[in-house]
Parts: sequence; C-alpha cells; structure tokens
Amino acid sequence: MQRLKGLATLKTDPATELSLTYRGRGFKGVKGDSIATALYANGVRIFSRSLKYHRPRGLYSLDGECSNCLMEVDDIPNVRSEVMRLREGMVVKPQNVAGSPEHDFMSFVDKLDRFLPAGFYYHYFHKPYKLWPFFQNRLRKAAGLGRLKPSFRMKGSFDEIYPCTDVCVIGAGPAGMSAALAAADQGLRVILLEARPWAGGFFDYRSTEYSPDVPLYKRARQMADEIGQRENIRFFADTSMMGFYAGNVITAFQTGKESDSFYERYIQISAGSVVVATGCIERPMIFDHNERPGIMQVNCGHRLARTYGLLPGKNAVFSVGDDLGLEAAVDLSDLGLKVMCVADTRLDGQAPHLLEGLEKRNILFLRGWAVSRSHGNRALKSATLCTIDGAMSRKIPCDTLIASAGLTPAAGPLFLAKAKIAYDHFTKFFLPVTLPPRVHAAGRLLGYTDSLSIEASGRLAGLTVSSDCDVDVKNHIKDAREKLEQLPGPARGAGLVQSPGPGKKRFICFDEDVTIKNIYQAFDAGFENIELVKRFSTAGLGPSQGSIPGHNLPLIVAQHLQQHGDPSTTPLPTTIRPPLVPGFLSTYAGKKSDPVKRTPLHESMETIPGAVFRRAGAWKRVRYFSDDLTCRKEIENVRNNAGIIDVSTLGKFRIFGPEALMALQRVYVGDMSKTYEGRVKYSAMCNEDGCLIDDGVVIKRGENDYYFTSSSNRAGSTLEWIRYHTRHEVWDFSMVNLTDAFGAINLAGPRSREVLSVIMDTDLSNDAFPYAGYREFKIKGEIPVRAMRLGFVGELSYELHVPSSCMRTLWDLLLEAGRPYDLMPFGLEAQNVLRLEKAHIIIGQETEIRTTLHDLGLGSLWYREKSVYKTVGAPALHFTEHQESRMKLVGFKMEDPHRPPQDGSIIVDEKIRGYVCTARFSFTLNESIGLALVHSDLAETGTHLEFFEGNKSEKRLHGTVVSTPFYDPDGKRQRI
Amino acid sequence: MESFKRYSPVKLPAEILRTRNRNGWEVVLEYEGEGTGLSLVDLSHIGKWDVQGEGLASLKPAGLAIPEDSRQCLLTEDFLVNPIKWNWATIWHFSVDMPDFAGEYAFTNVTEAYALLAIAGRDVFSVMEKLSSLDLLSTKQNPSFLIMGPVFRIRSQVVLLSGEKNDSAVLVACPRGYGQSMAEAILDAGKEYGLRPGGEDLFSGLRDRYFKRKYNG
Repeated sequence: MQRLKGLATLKTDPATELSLTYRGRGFKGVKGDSIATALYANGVRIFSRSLKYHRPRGLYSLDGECSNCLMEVDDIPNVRSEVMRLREGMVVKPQNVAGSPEHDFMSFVDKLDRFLPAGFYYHYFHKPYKLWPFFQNRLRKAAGLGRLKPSFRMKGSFDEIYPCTDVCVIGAGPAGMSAALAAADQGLRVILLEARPWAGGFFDYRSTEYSPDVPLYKRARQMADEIGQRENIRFFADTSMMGFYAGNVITAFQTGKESDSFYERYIQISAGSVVVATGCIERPMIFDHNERPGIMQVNCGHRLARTYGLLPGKNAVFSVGDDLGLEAAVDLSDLGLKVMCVADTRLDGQAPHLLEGLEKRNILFLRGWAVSRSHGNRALKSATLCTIDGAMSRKIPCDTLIASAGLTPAAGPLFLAKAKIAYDHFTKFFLPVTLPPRVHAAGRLLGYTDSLSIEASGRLAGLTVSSDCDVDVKNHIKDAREKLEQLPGPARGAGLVQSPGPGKKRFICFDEDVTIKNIYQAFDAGFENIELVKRFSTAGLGPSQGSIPGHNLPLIVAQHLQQHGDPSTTPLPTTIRPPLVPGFLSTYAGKKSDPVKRTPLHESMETIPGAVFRRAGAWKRVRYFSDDLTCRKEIENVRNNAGIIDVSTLGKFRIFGPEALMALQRVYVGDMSKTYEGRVKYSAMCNEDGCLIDDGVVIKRGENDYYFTSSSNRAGSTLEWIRYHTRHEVWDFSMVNLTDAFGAINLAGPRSREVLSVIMDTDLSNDAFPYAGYREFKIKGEIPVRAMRLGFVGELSYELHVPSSCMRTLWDLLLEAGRPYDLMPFGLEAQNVLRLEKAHIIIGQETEIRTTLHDLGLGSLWYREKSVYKTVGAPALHFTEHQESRMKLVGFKMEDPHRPPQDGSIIVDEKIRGYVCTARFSFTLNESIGLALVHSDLAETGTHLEFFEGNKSEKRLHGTVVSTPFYDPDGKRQRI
Repeated sequence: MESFKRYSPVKLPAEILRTRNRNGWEVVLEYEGEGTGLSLVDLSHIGKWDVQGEGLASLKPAGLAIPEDSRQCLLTEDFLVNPIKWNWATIWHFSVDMPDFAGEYAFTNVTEAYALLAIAGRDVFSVMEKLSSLDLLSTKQNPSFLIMGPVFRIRSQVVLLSGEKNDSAVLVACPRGYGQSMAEAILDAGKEYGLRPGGEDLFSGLRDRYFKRKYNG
C-alpha cells in the first residue's frame, strides 16, 4: 500500500523501516507506526474475530476504544495494537481466531444468534441444575480473549514514580495545553498527561485554518513547543490515566520509548489541583452490521491518512453527525480518497464553508440521512443510506464507511473524581453539573467546538487551578471568563441514537458482541435500570470498559423508558471505575521491590556455614544452622552447654515523663507500679476484647523512666497502640522506639554464666545477678550492655541488649569466649522447640484473634485492682474469665512418641474440636509434644485427643492432654 | 579494647579508598572513582538525638534554640536541628566530637536507631520520586526542612538540605534494619542518573557549601 508522502502532519518516518512478523510472515512498517497501522499498510483488514459470534473485526477507533484490534504481541495477549508503537522484530498474532482471520470455522455461530439471547446461559444451562457445572466449564473455556501460556514470563523492565505537583492537567490537547501554560505562567509546577505519543489532541492532524496562514496542526505544535520550553511543566506523553482517587491522587502508566530505561512505568501523581481536558471520543453510529471491517470512525480514517500517511480505502461513504465529519470528507477527498457520498444526520447547522467544500469537489451531500446497513462479508462492499425518518433509501458501493453519530465527552476522569454528571439536552453530552473541590474541566468535553473557545476554556481552567493554589489571579480569571463568553459557546449536539432499518446485528458493544436486540431482551426480562441492563446484557463489561457503548446504552435505555414508562426520563450514565484504560499487572507491580529488615548480625550470620534465612515478618532471620531441620544439635547444645541466638528483632522502647507509669498501667494487664529498678517485670497487653496481643518485659531505669520490650511482630505498632489508648488523656509522657537502636543476643544454657564471665569483670553469681534481674554494665569497658536474666528457653540465660553497631563485636567476643564451653549459635527453629518444651507461648502461634489471657492460662498476669487506670481489655477479661465453651491452650503428648502431628492439624471427634498450634519431637524428652487450642471440654489433663492432618495422611493420630511445662516444670534450671 | 569496632548497617558496593576510625566506626571518607556527580553517602555513624518534652522551647542543646516553626530546620556548621512538632525534635550532629546529651532527661540517643543516607547532586529529585510520594519541591517550604513519610515504603525522616538545581541534597533517615534495603533501592533508582557511592568527605564539602551559601550569601 502506497503511503502518502510530504504531509506536514505525518508522525511517521518512512525512511526508517521496522520489521514485524504477522502470522509467521514478515512485514515492514515504519518508525512512528502503531502495530495496527503497520499491518493496515500491509493490507491486513481483519485484526481479530469477535468474542461470541466470531465476526471479522477491523480498525475502528485508532485509540484502542474497543477490542477489535486487541492482538497477541510477543506472546502477550490483549495488546491494544492501535496504540502500541511498533518496535523492531515484534511477533504479532490475531486473537480469538479458529483457523485464520479470513476463514474462521467458528463463524457459523454468527448464524445462531437467535439461540444466544442476552443472559442465554441463565436460560439454558441451569435446568436441570446438575448439568450446569458441565456447561459452566465449557462456557468458561470459550469466554475471554487471548491466551497466556503458563510458561510466559513478562520481559522488560517496569518502573514506578510518585511525582508531586501543584497542578495536574489530564489531556494535552489545545485546552489542556492552554491550561498548563496558564498555570505555569503563575510559577506553579504543572504535570501534563497525554495518552498519545505527542501533544496536540484534535488540532494535531487537522489542516483547517486556526488563524490566517496558521493551520490547526501548526498551532498545536506552537503550543507543544511552548510546553517543552517551560521548566515548570513536566509533559508525560504516551501516558494513560488509570485512576483518580481522594486527595487528587492520579494514577497512570507510561509506555516507554526504545530509548527509555523502562518498558512501562506506573505513575502516581499527588496534585494540588486538577484540570480534566480529555476532549471527546466519537459516539458510534448504530445501524445494521455496524462493525464490519472497513467501517471506522471519522477521526480514525482522518488520522490514518494525516498522521500515518495511509488512506483508509479507495471508495468511501461518510455517515456523520457533526462538522468534523464533513471536514474529514473534504480533506480525505483532497488526499486522494474517492468520497462517494456524505450523509449528515443533521437537518441544519453545518458550517457553510464545509458545504461549499463538498460541493466544489462534487461530493454528494445528503442532509438528514444516515447509514442504515452495511453489506459485504469479510469486507465491506456497499452501504445503504436512508433518511432519518426511514422514508427513502439508497445503496452505494464502497470499501470504506466512515461513520459516526457525533461526539461524546471522554469524561471518565470526572466520573472517577466523583463529579456529578447529568445529560445535557442541548449538547447531547453528559456534562459535569458540580465538580469536586480543586477539580476543573475544560475544552471539548464541556461541549466547545470552536478552536478559540477551547483554548480560552483551557486558559480559564489553568487560572482557576492557580487560584486553588493560592495564587492571586482574580483579575486574570475575570478577563479570561469575559473572553470566553465573547467566543462561541458549546455547540448543539447530534441527537440520532440509531438509524432506521430492520435492526439486524446492530452492535452496541463490540467487545461482548452485544446487539440492540440483546438490550431489548434485557428490557423484556424486566431489567430497566441502566446498571442492571448493563450487567444482564454485558454491554460495556469487556476490555474497553464502556468506551463504545458508554453513551449509546444510556440513550437506548432512556428511549425505552420514555416509550414504555415515564416520558420525561433523562438518560443516566453508567458507573465508571478504575482503571480507565487496561494496563499490565507488571506495571502495577513496578520494580517488584521488597524492603526487608536485617538484624545487626546479618552479615555475621551469612558467614556461618549452613545458616538458612527465612522471612519473619519484616525481618530476615536464621531459622536453621544446618540442613538438619530438626535442629537436634542446636537444641541439645543449649540444654547441655550454651547457645547464642540473635533476638534483635524484639521491640524495644523508652517511655519517660511524669505520667509514663499511667500509660503503662493503661496498656499492660499487670500492676506496673511494682516495677523496680534492677528487676525485670514480665507482663502482657490485651486488646479491648481481653485477647492477648503482646507480651514483654518492663524495666525501670530511673525516676519516671522505663525501658520495655515487645514481641517482634508488635514492634512497629506498640507506640501507636499506647498513643491510641491514651489519646483522651492529657498525660505528660514521651516515647521513643529503640527497636533498631539496640540489638539483642540471648546467651542460654547451663554454661552461659561461665561464657559471659570470660568477657565480664562483673559478679554474675546468682546472688549478684539473679533470675529476673536487670543490670547495666560495659563489656571490656567499651560496649554498654543492658542485661536481663530471662528464661524463654528454660535454661540459665542472659538477654544482652547492646547498641546495634556493637552487636557484631559482641557476637564475635561471645563466640570466642564460649569456645571452651562448646558455645554454638542456634536459630529460630531450635528456639521454637526449646520454648515449646517449656510451654512458653509465641503470640500468633499459640494465640489467635479470640484467645484471651485466661484461655492461655495466663490469668495470673492480670492485676484486677487497678480499675482506676481503665486497663485495656479488663472489662472483657471480667466477662470472659468464666465463660464456657471457650478454646483453651493445652499441652499434649502423642501415643506414638516419634510421630508429632503437623502444625495446624485439626483435632477432631465427631466435629472439629481444635487445632495444633505447635508440635515437635523433643530430643530432650524423647517424645513428641505439642500445644493446641481445643474446646474447653477437651482441656482436662488426661483427655484423649484425635488428630487429623488432612493433606498429609488420612490416618488419625492420637495423643493425651498433659500438664505443662513439659520440661523442668519447677523452673529450677533457669534460676541456677 | 583492641577489637572494639562499630559497624554501619549499610555497605555500599564500591572500592573504598580512604577511611577513618571514629569512636569505633570505620567511616569511609572516599570511594574509588566517586567523582562529583550524583552520590549516595552513608552517614549512619553521625550522632542522632531524639528530644521530646513539653518544655522543648526552653532547651538549648549545645546552645542552640530549637526552631519553633516545625517546617524549618536549623542548619549550623555541626548540627542539623529538625523540629517535628511543638514537643518533638531530632538533632543530628555531623562533626567528629559528638556532644554528650546523656544526662539530659528529654534526650534519647538514637544514633543507632537510624540508618542515615545522603543523596546529593543534580538529579536527587528524580531519584527520590521513584521511591517516595513526599513533596520535596513544595514551594510552600524553604530548605532545609524535614518531612516524614514513606520512602521505598519504609517510614522515614527526610530532610531537604538544598533544592538548588545542580547542587541538591536530601538526607533520608530510616530504621537501621532497613538501611541496606534502602541503600540498594536508592542505588537502583539512581542507576539511570549515574548515582554512585560517595564518601563522607564529599558530603562534608557539600554541607559546608550549603551552610556558607545560606548564611553568608
């Protein structure tokens, strides 16, 4: 196909050829082509087959407004080939094709349409209901567009940015550019988004005069150049808006050029104020067989020639509803397209110079006519035109039908911004009635058609947003408004909804193959609310989300209601939700970043052979130190010698101030006034339901000055918890999160005192530093340590808190000092078994959202005589303390000592009666033990429990409830 | 103690040219080929203090008055005082001789709590907008100012030291545990702008320049 050359409006570079493969054959496109225009240049006319009827579909909007040109590109399905730029070596395949696009052996379905009414699957396949799963399976297989191979991996790099700006302008047409320039003139930061690869909007491809000797396309370039020169305007081309959220947060994605570092990038803009200047799209003309290849919208045909140098066909018929259609007919005729006839649905209102232009070129002009039917099979052969009252008709041969009922505002962003939108009977547009604060609209989407008015409206919006941003522009706004009022206002819109005719295969939604007849079937089924009609008929539920049916469906529904109900019914738009334009999930995923916390000992741990890291909440921690997942050696060494574990992830905090104690009393269940210097006080926090949410120790370091710990998982939310529960008080206290400031090492085992003595001069005897004691000292005179005698693993142990930067030094010192005592590191799994043997709980592992302090047997932690502090959870603890049928934590031993049940296994009799929290084989006790939450009637010691592991084995396991702790029940070992 | 050594939470992927031991910290002064372009500097070792209490205005740490305007930081030759709200501020100390506020009740030493990274050079804001939606170029605030919010989804304190186009600098303080993740994310975001690890000397030079420009014109 010969390309038009020398046009000043062209965006392609014919000198740079790009190759692509389509259906296994090599083709050539040129730089600047979209995939679809490159294929069109190579004679491809059928781009896909339709979803339901497998009808041939071709180029229609050139803006990706329907699924006609969704194609598989480089194994990626559903690529919008009309807007995706061609890149060297792309491999393109048609979609939804059985056979070839020209000869599709599923196309017989098109003849069966009478058997496929709206909601046919509800009618046919539910009786008898047992057949439904069979048909459901087949329908699901048949539904959907494109196929993604399971082995597919998305290539390319995906990026994300989060720019902030004073003003965001959506749409870089004449109104958007005017708004951006007006706001930038006031010194504001402006972001300008444009879905196409260049600015200019509907000026960009038109040669109509803007002012003497300045055609519209030149005016567009003047403005674009000005935009480019402004340092305070950031222009994002090839950027489609997806969402509009509270606080003027706008999301979009940008397709990268080959020179960019990204394939696509997610953009999330925080804007002070927003101008929506997205212009209009075309409202499809509804007539019989209105979607045959060869039928396209006005701006599609016009841009195909002016932007890409491709004439849409040889002989064309135009059926239009506004002056843009007439202008395109004149211009395309001048470019070499034989225009057979122009039908205009309007009886009057045409621009005289355009009528003169048609006459001058001997183009037949039919006033008050519209296309009523297209003819042909896989390609268009002729079109029947008729008067809008259906009285007269004529058939005209053609290979191209340029058809449009008029315009409709691309008001998606306004819908998402929650603007109130109503139908305007003059412009025939859905127009904003009220806009949210700091959101403004400009340009064609308000109904303006005059070039100067569009720009003036943009300038006014640009000044108004400046005012939003506290710039004093009152006088400028007044002038701009006066100027706009002097220019032509919004134009009268074309009202024809559908042309006369028999009404066969009149598609209102191309994506879902929904015809007007289907809409009537929805009415007959009793659906008259627009949202229900939409869902029952599926019109607008396809990939283009209502671009094609978005305007016509409300009109059809309103017409029906006017005829069969309330004659005053006004068209109501359907709801629009993000994303406005489909994007890749990879784009949403962005850089696939995963921030992870590393303990101060991370590097040391990495050097230990066999260390296996696992993610534990925000942290990466060592779970095992060998490939023996039972950790037998680690466990036995702690029981017999000494071990060290990195417990830096524990939450650590300072709370101080005259009323710090009041805050502690509020959130801890214990009596915190009994916290003494030199001692640790173990206590717990409950939520309002009396359920355990945290435990830790509190240390008094000075007058009104406390240091306390939380479990690792609660470290991030503890301070917020305290602030929240003291928010109504005027207590004077302050808090600092020291979780990351201090690392912590737990040195545990019967020989741990000897190990610590090597590097310490302090008296560590049980008298000098007893169990539950707290001391501060320096190791080697340099490393400040906060040391506690605790017993989580059930042995003599020291929890050493030191500044994080000193942790590696201390770790190395301890390992060195511990060598004669067989000191070795142990990981989380070993700690898990050690504490299980002591029946010490881990919150989240032995608790769930409904587990109270009493359910865990920790009721003694609750000090009930401090009601004055309104302890969080205390009323619920009173209520649940003696409540029956609660889940209780119990310890159990297995009948088969070598076979512990899986964590999470359910405990059953006739019903599910509980579940296993943690169960392991204990090398210390030489039997399998565990903790489980069970119904209270199974909690008595000696009760038989039956375990069912589900996915692991059908066989039931058996055990017995026993008293806990399993190991050292008197706690002597931790007190030595 | 011979073996006493402090470790930064951040390890930057570049050849170290010069270091200096400071209170046990091995501070990198210069990296191989760091140049004068966009740089990432690890300042985790510098002294950091959290100051809280109702009488904040009456405190004069090292003789400095904590600014009452929470939108404005105080930059001196040695200190950066960041007011967060009427009863809360942070103090960062850049020079070698760290003052000891340990006896002051309202002060908590949080040197170890945060990894502190400086990004300096022409494209600082292009890098930052890949990691954060914080508005560092807001015309409503003049550098230096502190803004709190997520950077790379990590709760952080961000100080804009200078917004000069070719001489910008931002400090990012995040929980120490996230330090390495944050540094890697910043380096990755800055790859296309030529971001490289830089030593402390590079940052000291910038800081002197900002300070002089701010107070000496």
